Amino acid sequence: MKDSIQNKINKIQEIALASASEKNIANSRDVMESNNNDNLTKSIRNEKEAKLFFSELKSAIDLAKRNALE
Amino acid sequence: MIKINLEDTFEATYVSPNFDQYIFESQLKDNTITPLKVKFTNIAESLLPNVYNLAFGPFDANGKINDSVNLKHKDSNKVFSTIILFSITFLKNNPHISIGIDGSDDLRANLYHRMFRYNYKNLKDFLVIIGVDWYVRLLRNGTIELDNNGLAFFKPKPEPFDFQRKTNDLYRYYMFSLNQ
Repeated sequence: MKDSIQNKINKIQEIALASASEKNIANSRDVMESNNNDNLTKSIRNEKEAKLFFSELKSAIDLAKRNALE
Repeated sequence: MIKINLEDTFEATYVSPNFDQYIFESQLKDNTITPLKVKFTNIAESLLPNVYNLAFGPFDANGKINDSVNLKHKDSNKVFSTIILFSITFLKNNPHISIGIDGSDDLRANLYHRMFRYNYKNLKDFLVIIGVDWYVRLLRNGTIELDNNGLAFFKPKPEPFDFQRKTNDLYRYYMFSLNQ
């Protein structure tokens, strides 16, 4: 990772540390935001299907990583 | 066209201690400045513990993210570059997690698709991008698998994002994780 981008990430981490000591702005303005209605969640009905999905996701990620090297 | 440049991003005005929420400010074309929130939320704790949904947008009247509004940003490239940088930060702190994007409508799905497609070279060192299609199973008797309501039962099938795939053939769901 480029140093300049890593520096930006380090800066974000510093802001997170500073934010930890402040009033939690995000949560105080945030009424429960539920994301249980997205397409993926709606189509996974049980543990077995979740396991199958994660297995296929892992394979897809591994293949995508190999593709990125080409 | 959205051009991602991780060197040119907005600075966060707030970052939650566990890196799942961010606030930054964007200037709109009418010169007003609006705060935008980026939030990563676990989709379903019991079944998909490692998939977090990405939502972003301005606050609505109730303080929730309004992810359906179409704001006219002065610098959309910088807005999306910022969101991607925050996503990478979240993933670096949670390397086993994948981020999911539903795309609240075709317009947004189209935007994400083009963003990933045209910025692949800039993103591939940081992120692995996955597209998800839904398929229905053909049974041996020639019928298709049905759900409890007698409707076709579609199952999600993830694959590496096909960068040749154009916007007339959008994925139904997009995911990305850290390329490490």
